[in-house]
Amino acid sequence: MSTSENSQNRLLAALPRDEYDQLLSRSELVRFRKNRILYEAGEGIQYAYFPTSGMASLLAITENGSTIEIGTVGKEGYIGDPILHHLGITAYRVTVQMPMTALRIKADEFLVEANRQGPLREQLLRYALVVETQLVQAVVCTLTHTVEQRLARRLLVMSDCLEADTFEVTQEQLSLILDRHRNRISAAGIVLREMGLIEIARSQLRIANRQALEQAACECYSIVTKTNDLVRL
Amino acid sequence: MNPTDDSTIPLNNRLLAALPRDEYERLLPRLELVRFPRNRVIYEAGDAMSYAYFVSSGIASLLAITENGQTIDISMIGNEGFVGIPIILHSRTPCRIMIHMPCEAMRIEAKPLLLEFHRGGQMQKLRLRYAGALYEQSVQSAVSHSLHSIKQRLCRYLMVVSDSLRSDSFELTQEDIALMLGHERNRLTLNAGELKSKGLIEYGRGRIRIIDREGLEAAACECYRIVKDSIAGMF
Repeated sequence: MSTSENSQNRLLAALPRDEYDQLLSRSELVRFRKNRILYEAGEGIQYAYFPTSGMASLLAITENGSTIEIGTVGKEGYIGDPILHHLGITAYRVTVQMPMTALRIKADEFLVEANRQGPLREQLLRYALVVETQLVQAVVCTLTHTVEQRLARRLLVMSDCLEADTFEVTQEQLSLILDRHRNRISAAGIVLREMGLIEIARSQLRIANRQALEQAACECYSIVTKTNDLVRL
Repeated sequence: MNPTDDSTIPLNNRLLAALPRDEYERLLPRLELVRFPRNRVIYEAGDAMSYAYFVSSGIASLLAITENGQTIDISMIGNEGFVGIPIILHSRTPCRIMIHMPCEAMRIEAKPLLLEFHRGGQMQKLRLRYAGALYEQSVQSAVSHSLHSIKQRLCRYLMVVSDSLRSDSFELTQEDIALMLGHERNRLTLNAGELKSKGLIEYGRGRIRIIDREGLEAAACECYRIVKDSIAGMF
């Protein structure tokens, strides 16, 4: 695979060459389609994933089977926090939201690498703050932010993960974050469109005014973005 | 806040109690007993931590702060845990950490804690596992906030407080509860009144007493059981 800057996972990109090569020798590149489930809540974990493109969602599952998004991961992060924490099982489901490529590494081999003192270990420990911050903001967001604010935030996150201002998005994907307000998403989309922030044609969405969209988003967007910068080695 | 002499240090914190003797003895000279009154803020959101606190009694709470200053409870820490995960994760706390029920804790400076953590051993595993368990508790809190009724959450909360304090009767005002559950006081009063009329609890003059534990547990959301099991699985 290419190791050029833009095809790399950012956590791995921060590692010294020898650490990176060491991890690479234990991992394989995989591709996942949309909606593929990587972790199921309450089940054991087989792999850690370092995305190099695309996006996955961390979803809490309620007793009646509905989902609440508690975080997203793209190439700025990794999936495997519960392995590092010696939990064995995961408390949440991880679903691929946007077609994803990732380096995956078996859980036990990942632990061997992650348990060694060094930059990889430190980077992974530090990344836990992102996971935690996203969760805290998910609670704040659900309770206090409007559907328009949350939709704006979500579109920015998607755009960041895909490194594109135009992308395909379905109502179904958006309803994940706004589970209780499924019917209000189209209305919120229309509001953002009428403000000139986005354009929608068929299932293609284009961010027309990024700066204004950032202003329309709740502060969760900038809090999580800043945390991602803060934890980088 | 007075350090006490080593011989009187109680081992009420379950994380410390679960350590092998040699690991515990290395930590012991670094631990000092501190006491905190209710509502004392130990750390603000965004703070780096200079001390970790192993709670021996009482409850510390993790609160999210919204842009208009409202607080939302994320999780609680009793004698099963410690305040200081950000130290081992080389990061900061995303939450305000406030004493919810008067606390006794063993505190230790960040540096010796990190040193011990990096030696590996049981300490490291336990801390990481606790960090995971606390995260799970917060996941449950996200579910709870978005789905469960105030009444269910009030019942869960009272059960957790009672478990932490190992007592069915404790000092607690409606104001204290409102700070944790984030609902207007009159809605809490209404719900507390309902629990009282069903014979689950009694209250008055700043005290709450649980009368029917089983009934209260049945009225609580499933988060109570899930989090309790997750903590039990740690030890």
